[in-house]
Amino acid sequence: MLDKKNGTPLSTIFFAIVTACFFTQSNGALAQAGSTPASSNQSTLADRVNSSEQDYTSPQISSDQAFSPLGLACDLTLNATKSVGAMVTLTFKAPCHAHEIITITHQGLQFTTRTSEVGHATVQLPVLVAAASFDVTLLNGSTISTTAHVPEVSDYHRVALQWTGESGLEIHALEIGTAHGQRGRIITLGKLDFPTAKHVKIYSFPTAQMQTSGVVRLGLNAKVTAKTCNKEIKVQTLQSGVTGGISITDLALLMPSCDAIGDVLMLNNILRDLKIEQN
Amino acid sequence: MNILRVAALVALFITGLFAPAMAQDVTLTSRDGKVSVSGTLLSFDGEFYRVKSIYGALTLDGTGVTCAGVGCPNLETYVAEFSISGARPMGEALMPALVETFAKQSGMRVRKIVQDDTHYTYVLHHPDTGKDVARIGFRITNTTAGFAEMLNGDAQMVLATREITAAEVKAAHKAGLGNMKRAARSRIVALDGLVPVVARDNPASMISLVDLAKIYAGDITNWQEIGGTDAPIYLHLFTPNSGLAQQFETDVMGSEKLDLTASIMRHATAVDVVDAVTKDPFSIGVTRFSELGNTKMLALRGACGMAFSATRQSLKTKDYPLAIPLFIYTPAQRLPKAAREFLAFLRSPAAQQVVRQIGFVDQTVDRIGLENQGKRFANAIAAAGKETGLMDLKQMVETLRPASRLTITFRFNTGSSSLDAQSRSNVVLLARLLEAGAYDGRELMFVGFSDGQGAANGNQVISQRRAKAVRAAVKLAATTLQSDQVMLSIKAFGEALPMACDDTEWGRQVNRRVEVWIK
Repeated sequence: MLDKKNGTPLSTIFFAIVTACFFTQSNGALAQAGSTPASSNQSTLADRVNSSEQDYTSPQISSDQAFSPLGLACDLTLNATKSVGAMVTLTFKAPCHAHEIITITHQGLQFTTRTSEVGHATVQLPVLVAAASFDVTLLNGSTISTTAHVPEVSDYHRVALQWTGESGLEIHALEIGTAHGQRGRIITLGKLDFPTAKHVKIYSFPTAQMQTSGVVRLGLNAKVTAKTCNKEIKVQTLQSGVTGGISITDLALLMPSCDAIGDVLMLNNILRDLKIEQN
Repeated sequence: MNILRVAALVALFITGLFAPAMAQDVTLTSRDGKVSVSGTLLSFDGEFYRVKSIYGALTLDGTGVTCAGVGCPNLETYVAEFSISGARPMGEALMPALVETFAKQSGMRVRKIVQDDTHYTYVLHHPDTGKDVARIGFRITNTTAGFAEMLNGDAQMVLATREITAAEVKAAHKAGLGNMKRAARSRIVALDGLVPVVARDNPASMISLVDLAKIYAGDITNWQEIGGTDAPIYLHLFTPNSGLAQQFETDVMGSEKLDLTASIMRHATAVDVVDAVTKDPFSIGVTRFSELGNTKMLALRGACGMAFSATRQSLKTKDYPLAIPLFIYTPAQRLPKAAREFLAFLRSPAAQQVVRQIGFVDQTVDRIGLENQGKRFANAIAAAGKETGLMDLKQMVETLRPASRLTITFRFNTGSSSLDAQSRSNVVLLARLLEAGAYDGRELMFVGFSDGQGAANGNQVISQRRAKAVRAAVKLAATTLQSDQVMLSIKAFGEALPMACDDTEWGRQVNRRVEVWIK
């Protein structure tokens, strides 16, 4: 997979490393590859190859081509592997972006997380559509994408909330009369807390496993805190549209005044109740 | 769509419809510059200027004039605003879904500003420019409060689970809102019904309307009295000010002349009713068809054994006795263009699809073949006897066999020859279908039926008269219909095909009907 913006074909990099090794074998400084510490009286490999071969063109090493302190190429990689329950595990590697905030996007959902000390991030997330696409974006704007085919998604009913900042919203799901305990799952994505952090909550219910018809009550709970009281909180809801597809609605919640800190604003008509019809 | 144009054309419009006069001067000049009117701008509704001039108050089409002067509305910042108030069953899920679909169809995006579950505002805005085009405020209370807000000018549309009362009509007239009884003042958005429900582990599957009334009156207090186990019955119903609770009182309690007992658990919403019933196998609740939750619906049984279940079909045909049309009322005021377009959208197939998806019953016309009416014909055979003979039944079957019944059915208000609300709406619906040529080259039979009170001969005559009256009403409404487009015939079978037992007023009302069959 290639970085869309800073894309360099793997073969080129390989060639560059080989070239570099060949050239810098005296000091073995692999990490210096890319810069050219050649003294003027020594002809470069390219020059020498050039002189022996007429049509030879030297490999292009882009000027921003770089390696991590561990000697790994800085290229971004992103892989999506299917896991049970119509979920996908995303594995993102950006060796030159350790401890960095990244934004993950999937069909209109967006959340932020942080890469590890070696620039990796692994996230498991429920998909919303069978032909699922995923993007990971770095702070500098470079983005890498991948896709996954997840037909099992039709066995699940999913609704999501997303917001930016420290609003602390929850999906409230009440499965009454379904006898065998909670079947639905609430998944939290984006656990970082800072003013521009993006958060997602998804409720996922295995409709295909239901033998009987029934209703799950879905609600949105918003805690009144010192940070949210008397404010207008912006939230997006994603739920299956009345006329098909996924419908995304922009909400502005007018939070109660600060006398109500500690209370919870419970909204039952934002997310439509899940109605399962089994005949 | 057109809302966009409104936005571009038009100007200042303040909540409460017709902005309070900004006592400022304007001069409106025709595009060719030949005519101009000066005066004080009284209001601007997005399309029309109302100006107080030396000739009196004049209304001028905004598209035909240019406005000059300090009082001119700002066309760039005009946002259509209107408010919708009323019944909770309509305001919870149905109206949001309708507004969102309307916006989508109009190429608009929405932003929903939420204060709580019953107070919210939809802002429709243009996806590219981000400019707000319309603001629709919702205050969800109950039907009565909705009409009250219309009377004091705070609502331009009322969501109602019942028809407007005589007192409300009078008050509206006094307030200068026009004659609310006129057909143009209301429209049916969706159909619904009152249904008795129990927990799924309760063995009951049917109940008679009489027993239901007695249970809610506190005259029957144990399941044993209606054939169940020895356990007390716990009652659940909506709060007294809800339109559905009032409907239950008139239709079910009223016909038995009983009053509700004080030991009923009252709930603000249908969701609360059904969720309470789900948890208690000894409880019974009354909810709406559109919100059954995880409960089990009970069929209604008459004393003669005929039973009805609420289904999409039986609510459309109103064969189920507790069907409830859901209305939107609008006062005789000029609404902003976006509001008028929203009302027009409610009649569209897209809106009907939303109605269906949200769990209410839409008004699209279905056909019911004879093969799906076995129970009705079995009932007819069972009820045949002294007055309705084999010959009558044979004749009826021969007439109806090559045809199928449409869900459009006409019924009459109790003790009167006037059509009920759903039937009046059906007149318009059928007229529009006829005008559009939906049944061109076919024969539509208006088939009259009566209850079994009185002599069979007399009932035959009455049912024929009713069928003719309905056909006349439909023809009158279908102004562009040509006489050779479709054949509209009259058939009448008196009491031959009863739908319900004749021992109660509601049963007789179900039986007095005009069906429409297509050949």
